[in-house]
Amino acid sequence: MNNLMTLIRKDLMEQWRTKKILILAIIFLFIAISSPILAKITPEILKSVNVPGMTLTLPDPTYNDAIDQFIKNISQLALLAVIFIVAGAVSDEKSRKTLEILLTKPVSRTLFILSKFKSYFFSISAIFLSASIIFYLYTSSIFTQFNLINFAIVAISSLLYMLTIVSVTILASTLVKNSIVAGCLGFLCYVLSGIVFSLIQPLKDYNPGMILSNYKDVISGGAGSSLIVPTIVCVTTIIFFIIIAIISFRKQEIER
Amino acid sequence: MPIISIKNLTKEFKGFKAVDNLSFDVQKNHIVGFLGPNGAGKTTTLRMLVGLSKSTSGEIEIAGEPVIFGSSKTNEKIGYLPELPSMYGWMSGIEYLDFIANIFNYSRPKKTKKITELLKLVGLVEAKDKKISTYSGGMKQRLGIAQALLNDPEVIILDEPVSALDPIGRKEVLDVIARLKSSCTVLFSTHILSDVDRICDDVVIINNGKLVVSSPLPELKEKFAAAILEIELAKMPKTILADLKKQPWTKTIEQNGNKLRIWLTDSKVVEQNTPLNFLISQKVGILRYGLTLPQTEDLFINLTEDNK
Repeated sequence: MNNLMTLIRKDLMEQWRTKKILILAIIFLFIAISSPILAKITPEILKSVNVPGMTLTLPDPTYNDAIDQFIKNISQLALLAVIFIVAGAVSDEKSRKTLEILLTKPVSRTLFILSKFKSYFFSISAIFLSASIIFYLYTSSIFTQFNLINFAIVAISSLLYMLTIVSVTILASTLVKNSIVAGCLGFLCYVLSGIVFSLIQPLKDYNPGMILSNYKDVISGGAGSSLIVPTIVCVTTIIFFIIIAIISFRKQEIER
Repeated sequence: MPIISIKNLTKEFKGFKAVDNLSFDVQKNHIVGFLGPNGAGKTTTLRMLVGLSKSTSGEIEIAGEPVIFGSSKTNEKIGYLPELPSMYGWMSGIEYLDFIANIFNYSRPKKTKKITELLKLVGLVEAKDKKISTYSGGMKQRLGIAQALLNDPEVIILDEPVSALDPIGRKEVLDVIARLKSSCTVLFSTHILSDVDRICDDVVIINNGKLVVSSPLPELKEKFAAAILEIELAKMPKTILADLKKQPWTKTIEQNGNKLRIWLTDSKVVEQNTPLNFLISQKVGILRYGLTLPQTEDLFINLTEDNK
């Protein structure tokens, strides 16, 4: 357990020194601040476009529009950034050969993979939850205050989906030696789970991306039971991908 | 009881045997030079010893424990320095040693004491706070040695530890290795045979993945080294080299200008003046003629030639 903490501390320090955390923080902060602003000004921009013979009637923007923007940006721009930052987690250590010395110490390969997931779990959770708090406060100040608990459920669901994508990206990073290839594999899984699976009826209900599909209902009426299956699917998927990554890594020879 | 025991070790890559049924032992507190030409299988063997690579068959034991691929049990007892070691460039030297010390769960006072000692030993006290990415090749090598020594290992395995260093750096690193003899066993691969002469007790020579010889160095010199006849001629006739190669007492010839080094099959031919008579019969001017004591390099050439 001590070694796990040592490895996590090293990974967090690496994310900080190599500015990975900074890049993610800037992107998440940008999304947190720009989403309510865009929701507020988009109708005004559209109204200002003067098309002769056409009258544009738009409802007044609400916090729901800001949440729409926030979820859309998080599930697209932020997730892409997360995928390409996490892609180097294991593959970079292989290609830069820093693994050679580390794995000849009393470090188990299981702990090594777990440390990669947990360090990104801590940093992404901290950044995303901070961004969510900023978003909530800013949106409440621009529009009207909305239910904090319901928003927290949506934020945690988004985080869970993000961690599912992190787990599959770590698996991809374990399987290949090149971080770009790992990023592309992670992106492929993101596309599959987000778009393709949702179009195939038997898979639709067991798609991790479903966790974000009912966020409007959750914001207006609370979690209910609609989140149970997607939450179980996400948690199971994370555990499954991390176990596969560990099994694969334990069998891998570290090439020169 | 040997501290490293390798039995029938084989490593195959897609049908090619990089290491072929290799067996040898390393005795405790010995410094052992692990020699072989490029592609002989030295690095592959060392990587199996430290659990980075999986053997196709065979057994390895270190300090009485079997080495199992992917398991870190024997890693408590070893220190390993790969050829051209890669460490986290964003860390400083002292941070890297601190990170490795934490893996071994050292208490803070023990950790501080050990790191200070090692930084002094490898001469990195002044550069300890600089980022590793700014270190020269020699500094990285010395930091690599420090990390390998951090856990007071019973066995240190070094893959070409001095090949990338300048002569001063090489001497410094070899001095460090020589000082380790009283406290641990060192197995190191190298191409630089004079280094083996300088610090090794034993040598293990492999070629094409197979063991050529494993022996204490003085015994090996006595037992295997063929006598070498050093000759300098006034001028080098065109056919002399080919004619010399045909002689039954010639094993191998090395030419450097008008100088020849002939590895003899039997040194008795010198007592009988056989090579001298041959040269006289060729009517060539002889400037120098005499036997020389074989060095490890000569031994290596002789043994690997035999193995071909």
